Amino acid sequence: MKRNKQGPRRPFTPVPLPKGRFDPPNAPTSRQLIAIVAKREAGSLLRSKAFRISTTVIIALVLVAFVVVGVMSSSPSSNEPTSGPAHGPAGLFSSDSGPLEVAADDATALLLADNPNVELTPVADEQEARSLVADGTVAAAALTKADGHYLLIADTTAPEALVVALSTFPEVVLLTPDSYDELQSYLALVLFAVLFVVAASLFGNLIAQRSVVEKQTRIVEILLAGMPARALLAGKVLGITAVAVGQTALLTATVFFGSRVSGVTGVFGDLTLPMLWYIAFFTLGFLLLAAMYAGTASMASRMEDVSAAVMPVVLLIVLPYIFAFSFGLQPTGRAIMSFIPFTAPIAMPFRVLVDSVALWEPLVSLGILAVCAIGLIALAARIYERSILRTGARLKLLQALKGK
Amino acid sequence: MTSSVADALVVEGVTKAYSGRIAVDQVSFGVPRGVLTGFVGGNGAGKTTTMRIIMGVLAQDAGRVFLDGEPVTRAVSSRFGYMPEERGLYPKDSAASQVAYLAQLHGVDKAQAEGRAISLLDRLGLKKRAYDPVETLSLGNQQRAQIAAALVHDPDVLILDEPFSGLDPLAVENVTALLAEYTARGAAILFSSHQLDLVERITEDVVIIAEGQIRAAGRRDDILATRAGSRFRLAAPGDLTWVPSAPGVAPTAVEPGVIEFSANDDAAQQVLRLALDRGHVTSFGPAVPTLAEVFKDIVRDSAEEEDAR
Repeated sequence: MKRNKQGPRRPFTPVPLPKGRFDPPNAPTSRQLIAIVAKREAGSLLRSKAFRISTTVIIALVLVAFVVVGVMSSSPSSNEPTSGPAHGPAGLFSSDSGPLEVAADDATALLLADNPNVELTPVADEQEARSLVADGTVAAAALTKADGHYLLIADTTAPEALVVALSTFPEVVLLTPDSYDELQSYLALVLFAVLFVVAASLFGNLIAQRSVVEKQTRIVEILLAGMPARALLAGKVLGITAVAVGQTALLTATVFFGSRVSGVTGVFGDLTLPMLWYIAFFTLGFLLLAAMYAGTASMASRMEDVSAAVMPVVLLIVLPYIFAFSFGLQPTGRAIMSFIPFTAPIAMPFRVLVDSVALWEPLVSLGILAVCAIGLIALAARIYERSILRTGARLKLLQALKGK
Repeated sequence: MTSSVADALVVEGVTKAYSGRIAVDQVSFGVPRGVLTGFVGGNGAGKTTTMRIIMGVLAQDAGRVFLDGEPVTRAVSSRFGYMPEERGLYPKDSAASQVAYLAQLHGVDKAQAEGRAISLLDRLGLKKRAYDPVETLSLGNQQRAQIAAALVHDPDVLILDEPFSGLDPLAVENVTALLAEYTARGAAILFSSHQLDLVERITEDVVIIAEGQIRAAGRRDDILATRAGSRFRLAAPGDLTWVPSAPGVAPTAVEPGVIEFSANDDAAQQVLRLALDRGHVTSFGPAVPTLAEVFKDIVRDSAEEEDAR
């Protein structure tokens, strides 16, 4: 049944139509208008299938990422200084299949003696070991050859755990160890950059499309006969921003939950504070971008023209993304970026994570972002007001600003 | 250019030019309460521009709009019911939800807005499809939803650009009856239409615009009578073939038993006397043109003026 898909969940209860003298309701205040528009925008977005599916997918991806990182970080850690020939951790022996029966000569038995998952059967030589393996008395046999190398004898397959136990790891000495290793830092940078770019462009394009749908279908003429353009713009921006921030908060909760459950340590065990900063930066940064998206999109009259119209705003998202990867891994580079309004939502939370950042730094950066947002939202409102009722060819930015 | 009753909505000297080309030029007319006022004019004559200026979605270069003597500000015009020339509703939303939404934007509280939306759609014959996405509706049904959108906040001033276009005859009757209820309650309604026979049938006041200028405005019957000018209509059961050869007479239409001709008053009285001498006369009087004829005359006049310039 296709019917009622977009309709209200419950049918409306009819009321008698007004009769007799006209009794016009009081015109809503701007604030009330903004709230009504914002509610509709947020509500219809939350009900849309595309939004529900994409949110579920993103959350699932984050959880999968944690499982992957969890598995990776529980494998042998390479940056802890160790001494002497190191051997693989014994914990890898699977415990649910019971202890592994292993025949070993004296020299090898010393190595395996501490391992609770191994049940040792002493053997004298290779000949004896072979026969024990062959008749199934033991799963495998481990011997030390004359040249000091180990020999593993098994029937059809070598028990992996035993191979690991007999393997030798090199000694690692780090003279200036990083607080976090480079790969994990890089992954954290990717996390913030991708989160921001994906959310900003996804929701930004959404708001652009919604503005142009109103313009293309001309319902905007009915809307603006009853309300100021600024109230319509503000309602739209606030409604979509609320959903975008809500989704980001949900992601943050997922990250928090994921790091707890997967037992990931290092960079990803520490994400709560940076993610909270990220939400703050995202909220302001997205308000700015959403207003710019709506403003520039209103210069187009048709869907086909939207992508060209919003190009300047797309650059405001893509360039920071490129900068993030070019300079984000250098402390000075990311310090500068963390105070530039467009790169700050990526760079500052990352710095909070990997550098020691004083509290004033994100606060000052947020302040700069707020001032910039107020200015650009005013500009976007001006463009929107002057373009939204004008149909025909796509307006040039300067035309829209001058209103001619 | 006077109306039957005191005008509620008054447009005064409104002028608007688009990049040098004048779209409406010193447009003045009134829309009284309690009757339907039809707004007729050719394509590009300036109807839509005038209506958009009344609604405040387009700024005029000069002139003013008043309601009950007060200048129409946004706060006033936001109370009006408006149906723009270019139709539009949210394609993915249901008619019910967006009509309710528009009511809320006009200050109707949520429960009332929803209840009125569904009652109104029911009234317009759209009950079964009220919860379907608007884009799945036929054009005629989208049109009904559009009318509901204009009426849902129960406005006492209605500005409707082509409300009947795309409606089948039954829907036209339905909407006409609904508008008649509004006029009976004292609403002022200005609607544009190209269906001149319909306008003639349902309106009491008419405003005719051509080339951005008002050519006639006021009571429909007065306008038609003025335009009757020197045309007369004679109906008699006997032979009428002698009439065209009477002095000072130019026939304009001849049917069995009826003749229309133009003549000055004296010549016309002479024809009547001659007809009475020959036998019975069923009727004699000025030949009242239809609105369509008057409209054609006016458009032709302005085209000639244009040529003369």
